[in-house]
Amino acid sequence: MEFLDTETRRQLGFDQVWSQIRPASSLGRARTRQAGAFGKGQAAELEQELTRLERICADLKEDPKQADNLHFLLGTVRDIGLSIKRSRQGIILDDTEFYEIKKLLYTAEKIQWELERLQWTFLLPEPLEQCASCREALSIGQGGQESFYISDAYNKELAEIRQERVMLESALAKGRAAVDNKLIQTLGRLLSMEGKIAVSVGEREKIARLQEIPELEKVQETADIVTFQLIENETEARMKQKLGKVRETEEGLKEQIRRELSQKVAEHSSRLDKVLEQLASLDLTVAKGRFSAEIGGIKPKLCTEPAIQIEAGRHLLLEEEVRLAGRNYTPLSLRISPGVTLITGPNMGGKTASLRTIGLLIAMAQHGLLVPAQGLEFSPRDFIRAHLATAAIPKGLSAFAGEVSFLRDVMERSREDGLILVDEIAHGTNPVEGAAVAQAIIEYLIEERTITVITTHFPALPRVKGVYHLRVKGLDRDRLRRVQADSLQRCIDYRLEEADPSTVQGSDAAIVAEALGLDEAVIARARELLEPSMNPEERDSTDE
Amino acid sequence: MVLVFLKEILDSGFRSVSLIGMGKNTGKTFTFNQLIMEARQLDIGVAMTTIGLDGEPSDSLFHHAKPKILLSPGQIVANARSLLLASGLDYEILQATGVTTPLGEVFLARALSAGETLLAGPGTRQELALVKDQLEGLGVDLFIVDGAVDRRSLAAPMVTDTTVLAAGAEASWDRRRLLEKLRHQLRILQLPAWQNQAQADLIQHEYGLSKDPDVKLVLLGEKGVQAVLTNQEFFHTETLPELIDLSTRAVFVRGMLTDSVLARVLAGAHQLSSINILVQDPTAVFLGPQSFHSLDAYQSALQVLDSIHISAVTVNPFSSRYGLADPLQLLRDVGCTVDPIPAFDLNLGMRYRPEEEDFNGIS
Repeated sequence: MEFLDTETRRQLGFDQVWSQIRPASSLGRARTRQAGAFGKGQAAELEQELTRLERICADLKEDPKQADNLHFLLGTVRDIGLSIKRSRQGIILDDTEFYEIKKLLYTAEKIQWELERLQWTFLLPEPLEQCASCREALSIGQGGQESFYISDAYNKELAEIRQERVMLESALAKGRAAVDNKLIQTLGRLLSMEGKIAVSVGEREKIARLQEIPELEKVQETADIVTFQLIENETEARMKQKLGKVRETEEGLKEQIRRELSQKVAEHSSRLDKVLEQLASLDLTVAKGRFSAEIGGIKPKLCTEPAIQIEAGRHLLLEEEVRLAGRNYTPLSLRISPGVTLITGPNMGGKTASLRTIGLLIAMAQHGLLVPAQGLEFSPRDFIRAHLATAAIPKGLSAFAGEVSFLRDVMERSREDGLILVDEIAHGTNPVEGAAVAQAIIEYLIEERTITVITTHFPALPRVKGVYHLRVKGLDRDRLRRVQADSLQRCIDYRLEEADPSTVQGSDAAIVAEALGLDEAVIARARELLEPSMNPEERDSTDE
Repeated sequence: MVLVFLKEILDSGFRSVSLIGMGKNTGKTFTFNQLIMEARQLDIGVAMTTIGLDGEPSDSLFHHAKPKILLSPGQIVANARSLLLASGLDYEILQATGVTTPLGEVFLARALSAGETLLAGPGTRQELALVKDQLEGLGVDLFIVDGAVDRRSLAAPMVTDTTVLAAGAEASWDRRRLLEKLRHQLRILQLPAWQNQAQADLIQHEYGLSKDPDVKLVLLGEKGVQAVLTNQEFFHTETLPELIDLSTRAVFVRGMLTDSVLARVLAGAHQLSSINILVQDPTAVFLGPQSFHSLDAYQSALQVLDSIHISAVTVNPFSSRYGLADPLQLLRDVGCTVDPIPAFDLNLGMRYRPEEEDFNGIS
C-alpha cells in the first residue's frame, strides 16, 4: 500500500502544499513529481534530510537572498538525459548536444563552487561529479569557452582541409570584393547576394561605368532596368568546384570527430547520469529548504515510541483561508497514540480541520519537509488514509457504502503503523445502527497498532472502553449572546482538551442552528423535543 | 548613395531593426540580405533571426522556395536547431535559448564559414524579446529580424528599435489601391504614442498585457481612472454612454480594436468629440479605412501605449502575376505617399528625394 493514496492527498490538501515546492530546473521539477515519502524503514535517511533542511533553513532565515545565485544556476540546468542515452546507443551526437553536455559540466562546476561558498556541501553526500576528462574532450582548442565548436585542434587533417577551404573562400571572395570596392567608389553600391547589380535605363552614366568594369557583364535589359552580373571565369569555376569537394571532405572529418566525441560521451555516460541525478536531488532539496523557510517550518523529531505529538501545528491552507476571512487561526496541539482517539464537539468546531492538520503535518514530515508547528514528534507511519466528510464517493456507491469500503480497506492494515483519519464515522445511515457499527469498528481498532482518529456526534462512542477522548472546547455562549449571529466562528474556542470520561458533551446543534438564523419556532420546538431527554448543559452534569 | 541604407539606421542610434512586408514577394528578403551585406562591408557585428517562419521548405501559398540568407564568418544567428544543423555551415554553438519551434529549439550560433542558410527563429513577441536579451553581451552591434508575412510579423517591430517596411507591386498591381493600402498600413504602424506618461504607466501596470483579460475598456479623466468595463459590460450592456462624460479624456481599449469595437466606443461617446482612444500597440488595431474616416469625423485621436518606429520603406516593382512595374514611377509614387519616411528601391540603388525634382525626384 502506498503511503498516501490520491484521495487522501487531495483531502488533506497535500498536493496543493507540495505544489508550492518549486525547483528551478525541469530535472528538479520532474523529481518533485516523482518524490515519495520516506518509509518507516528509512528513518535514518529522513532524519538526515530533515537535518539538512534545518541547516539551510536557518541560513535562509538569516539572509533569504543568499541562495539566489544557486537557484539561478540550478535554473540553467538542462535535462541532457536523452543525449546521454543516444550516445550509449552508439548514435552520433550533433554539435548542439555536445554544447549542452559541455555547458552542463561547466554549470555543475559553478554549482559546486556555490555550494562551497554557502557552506552547503552537506546537501550532497559527495561532491558533484565533474567528469573532467569528458569536459576536456569537449573543450579541445576552444580557449576555455562554454560554447562548443569543432576546433582545428581535434584533427590535423581537419586543420589542413579547413585552411584550404578558407583559402579558396577568400580567393573567391577576393574577386567579388574587388568588384564591390569598384562599385562603392563609382556608384556607392554593392553587388546583391546573387552577384548582380541593376540600374535604371535612364542612368546612362552609371551604365557606362558598369560597362567599364571587365568583371561584369550585362545579363538583362528590360524597358526600365539594366542588370549586370559578376562573370565567373574559368579559374573561379574550378575553385568553386574544388571548394565543394573540400567542404565535403571537411564535413566527413567533422563527422569522424563527432563519432569519437560521442564515444567519449558514451564512456562517461554513467557519470553524466550521476551528475543529472545529483543535480535533480540538489534542486529538490534546495526548493524544499526555501519552502520550509517561507512557512517558518521546524524540524520534526522522530521517535521510536509509536505516537504523534503536535504542538501548535498549523494547516497551511486552512490558516490561509481563515486569515483571508479576517479571523484568528487556532493552531492544533495534541498527543495521540495507537488505538482510537475520538474528537467530539459542536458543529463548525474544527473537528475536520483537526483531522486534516494531523494528516497533513505527518505527510509533510514524512516527505522530508519542515513543518509549520512549534513542535512535532512522531514515529514514522507506514501509511496515512483519510476519509473526510468531503470525500469523493466511489462510483455506484452511496456515501455510507463508500465509507464502509474505505473502512474495510484500512482495517485490513490496522496491524501496521498507520494513521487512519475518519470524519463523522457512520453518519450517513440510520443513527442507531450507525452508532452500533461505529462502536464495533472502534472496538476492533482500539487494540491495533495503527493510530486512528475519529470525529463523531454519536454520544455513546466516547464511552467505549479504552477510547481516548478529546473534545473541542466549544462555544462561548456568553459571547455568542453578545455578538452577531454571523460571528459564530469567533465564539468558538477551537482548542482541543481532554474530555472528562464521566461526561458526554452535546453538539450544540440547536445553538448553532439558532446562530445561523434558522426559524425561531423551529428552534423552540427542537428545544422542546430535547428537553425531556437531555439539555446538553444539564446532561453534561447528569449523564453517566 | 554610399551604403546609406544601413548607415542611416545605425547613425540614428538604432541597434535592432525588423523587416516587415506588405505581403508576399514584396522584397523583404532582398532587403534583409542587403542589410546583411552592407553590415559586412561596414564591419558591423550582426545577429539575425526571423519570427514566425513555419519551417516548411517552400511557402504554402506560392510554392516558391523559401529564401535563404547569406551568412559571413563572425555573424550570429538565432536559428532552430534542425536548420542550424542542416545548413552544413561551420558554427560555434553559443547558447541554447530555451525558445522552441516546430524545427527544434532556437540556438544562438556564430558562423565560422560563409554560406547560405534557412532561418527559423522564435514564434512570439515574448520569445523574440527573450532572444534579443540573450544576445546582449555577445558583441552584437545590430540585431536584424526578418518578420514573416502575416499578422505575427507585427510582433517584431514591437521588440526592435526600428522597422523597415517592404512594399511592392505584388501587394496590388492597381497603383491607386496599392497606395491606399500602404497609406492605411502606415497609418496603423505609425500610430502616435500617448503622451501622458503617468497615465500610460498606470494603464500598463494595471491593465497591460499580462493583467485581467476580462477588462475591455478603461475610461480616463484628468485625475486618473474613471471607470472600468468588462467584456460583458462593454458588449452586452449600455453602460458606456452613462459613464462617459465631458471629463473623460481618453478611453483605453484593451485587446483588439476592431471596426465594431470602435463603432461601439464612438457611439457610447455620443455627442462628445475629440476623445482620445488608446490601444496597447499597433498590433492591436484591426481597423478598416472607413473606421479612420469615422475617427476623423469625430475628431478623435487613436493613440498607442507602445509605438513603432519606421525608418524606411523599400519598394519592389515585381509582380508574380503582371511582371515588372515601372520601377521609377513606383518609387516616386510610394516615396510621395510615405514622405517624410525615406523610400528606397534597393535593387536599383535609388532613394526617393522630393526636393530633387530635376531627376524625377529620385537619386
